[in-house]
Amino acid sequence: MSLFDKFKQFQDLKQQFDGMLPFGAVTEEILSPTQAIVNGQNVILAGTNNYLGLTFDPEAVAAAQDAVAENGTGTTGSRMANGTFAEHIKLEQELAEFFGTRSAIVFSTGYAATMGTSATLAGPGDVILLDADSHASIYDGVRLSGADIIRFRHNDPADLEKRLRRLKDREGDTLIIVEGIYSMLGDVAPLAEIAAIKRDYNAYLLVDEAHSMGVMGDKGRGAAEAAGIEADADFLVGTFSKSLGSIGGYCVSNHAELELIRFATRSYIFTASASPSVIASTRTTLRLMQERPELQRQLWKNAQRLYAELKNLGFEVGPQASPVVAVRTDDADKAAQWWQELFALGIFVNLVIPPASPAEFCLLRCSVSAAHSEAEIQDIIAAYATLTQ
Amino acid sequence: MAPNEPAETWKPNDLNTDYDQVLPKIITIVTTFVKDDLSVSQDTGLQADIRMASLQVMELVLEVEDEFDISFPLNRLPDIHTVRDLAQEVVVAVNQ
Repeated sequence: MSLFDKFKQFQDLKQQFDGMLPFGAVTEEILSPTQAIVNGQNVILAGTNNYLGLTFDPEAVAAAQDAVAENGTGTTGSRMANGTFAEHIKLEQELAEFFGTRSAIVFSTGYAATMGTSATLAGPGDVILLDADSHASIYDGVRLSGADIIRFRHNDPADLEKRLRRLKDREGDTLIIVEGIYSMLGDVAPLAEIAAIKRDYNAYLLVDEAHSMGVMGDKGRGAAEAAGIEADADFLVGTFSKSLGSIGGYCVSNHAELELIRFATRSYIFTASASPSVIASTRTTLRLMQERPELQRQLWKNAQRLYAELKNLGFEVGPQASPVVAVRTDDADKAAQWWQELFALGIFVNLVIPPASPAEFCLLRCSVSAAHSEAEIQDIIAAYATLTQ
Repeated sequence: MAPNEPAETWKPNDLNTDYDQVLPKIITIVTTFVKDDLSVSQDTGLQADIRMASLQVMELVLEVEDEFDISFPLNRLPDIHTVRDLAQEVVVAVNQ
């Protein structure tokens, strides 16, 4: 028995995919929000979650450059110590204003935001009911919480209701955790039904908008806005590393207690705060996202086209069109082969294998960008078409 | 009654539910997760014998919760190694 025995499964996995790129791909040069040189190959980036394509926006780049010059490369400390700069506070104020909430907390990563709130909001004696397909950051967080953790079947409000009913008098101490758009299959949570159940049982609701902020809702606030249930969402969490093109995360709420939760969330307290350049570019892209609603329209146009075409080609895709377009196969070797073929054709997608996928299947996952041109979307479709020949 | 024979009179939330009534149901559910011809008994290890991944164990919990109309928090899983462990925990939950 060795300390390292438990890692043997990864050695087996490494051997299975030996010599293959998907888990060791190195981006050598980023040419644009949608193109790069990866391991010497020019590729269209079709798996970067860069939904609005703002990573090279001149205003955001200039803001980051100015921030480095004015405030240095890093804060060198946590928010609770020396790492709260005036710009962190401004971003929190701007997020609260954008979401129409009482306050906001800015985290250093999206993982820290989701994991930290999942670990902190409920504690021993409370209950967390989470969607079975929740992101790893949610699972990691709830495990730390000490609350009783109960899963409900993915996107199944009736299953959620059944499990709430079983709690009897504990339902008021219950936090329901769901996502707006699920990251692997791109399906949208039935938030109107979930919010109605939450009201019936007097529970709390947290919605992770990582893949839906900037993507859904007239104002881009996410799936809760699109479903008209923002008043029912006690907590909205999300990330800056997708639609806003930087890195970091947030939690917004109308509960006054959010300012107390700040003092209890270890992933906020015990890590260095985001660097000035990150905060500056995030503030800029948050504004640009609001000023350019056409980006969301273009994103959905691209997403619906890719989803429809891959479905027409006979691929098994997710249950609905969204900017996450995933092709499913049960055969890991075939998935790896397909990934290699797409890469050779200049298309970079995400290869997702268990346990990262929601079940025992594999995914070739695309995330569409508003910045993809019609020609690039066509190139992605054409590459997938060769897999069927 | 033999362990593998379901009790015809058993009902969910029966306060007298005991291990011998729960076990056959658990074995039936666990068997649906077995990919080979392994015969499941109370001594069968969920990971050691059936090689269930953590995701499969969580799916098993969903099925067990519905079969017995109980809440079975995932926090209890670290102590569940065998079918017997699972059945014993279910007995506790059913009688709560």
